[in-house]
Amino acid sequence: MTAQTPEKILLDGEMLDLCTEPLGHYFYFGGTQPDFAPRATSCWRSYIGTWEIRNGRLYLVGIDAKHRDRNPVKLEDIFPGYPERVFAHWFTGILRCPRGPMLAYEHMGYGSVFEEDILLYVKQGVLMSREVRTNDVTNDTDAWAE
Amino acid sequence: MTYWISGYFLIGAVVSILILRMVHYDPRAGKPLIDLSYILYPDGKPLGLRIQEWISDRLVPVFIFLSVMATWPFLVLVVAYGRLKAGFSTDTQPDTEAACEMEGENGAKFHAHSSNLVAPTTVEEVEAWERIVDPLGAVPPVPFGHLNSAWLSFKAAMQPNDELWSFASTKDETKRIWAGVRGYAIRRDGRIVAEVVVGVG
Repeated sequence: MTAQTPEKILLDGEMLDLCTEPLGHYFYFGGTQPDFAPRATSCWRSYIGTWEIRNGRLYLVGIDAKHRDRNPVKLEDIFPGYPERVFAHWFTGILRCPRGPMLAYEHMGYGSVFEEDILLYVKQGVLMSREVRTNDVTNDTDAWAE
Repeated sequence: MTYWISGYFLIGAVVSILILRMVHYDPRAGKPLIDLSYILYPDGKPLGLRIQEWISDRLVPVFIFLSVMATWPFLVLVVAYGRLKAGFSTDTQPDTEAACEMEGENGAKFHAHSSNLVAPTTVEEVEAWERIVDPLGAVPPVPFGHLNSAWLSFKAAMQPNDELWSFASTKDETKRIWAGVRGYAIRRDGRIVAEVVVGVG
């Protein structure tokens, strides 16, 4: 499996990569999933979401994807009546935002190690706490997911 | 003889295209097979990483294409056997990382068991608990917010004598998930017949 293209997240005015897929939780919980056109193997999920932490809450503010008929997927196609901003109340978990230079490349998923990981602890869409983890190449990158 | 060889590779090319489509590689959706701007890391990725991705995304499909073109009779048999064995299932690729996280080790989706049931409840109680409010108005003011349609489908499956229960799983049961899942289940004649998963943790 190829290394996967991350999501994007706007955090404190800085656009970061996001190595977590909150929209996948939405689809898993029964949310309507468009018939996305396949992308390259570096993006098996076939979309790239743009997220924002605003006022301590997680919002989906954009999506880069296409339907099978090649028309762009709009946020409103997934969340009718919400074309610009969607509160991600369905998501509980840890958002991992890598920052800094890459220390080790892993050709699988989000396994590559970067200098720092900003970890955002979110409960039902509300940011509960955050921490910054400094990495080195000896860190076990799977440990946080346990 | 030339006609036979040409025919062989012509069929092989068609089979290659079909097999590439079956493994979800869509050449129309991707970038050109040779795209120098892709290699020259336009978004700041290291050159080595770009080259590895280019090999994976561009050269590997070409290699597969050529290999299939040369050996297609054998591969057709292998694919046909696989299809028959899988009962013509089309669900071959997990959609998302989240789906992988929330699936058990055998790939099956989580299903509640009787041991997961927490307490009996009612539709009215659930709809009051699960109402979601957002100061920016980015969620519909209905039970379960953006997941309201999943709840409505679940509710429509209820029959007059069914029981509605809340459930929560333990970490062990969900294998790879970092905390248990929670939701609601319909119990009919002592058996769980439907559930809706609404969150984790």
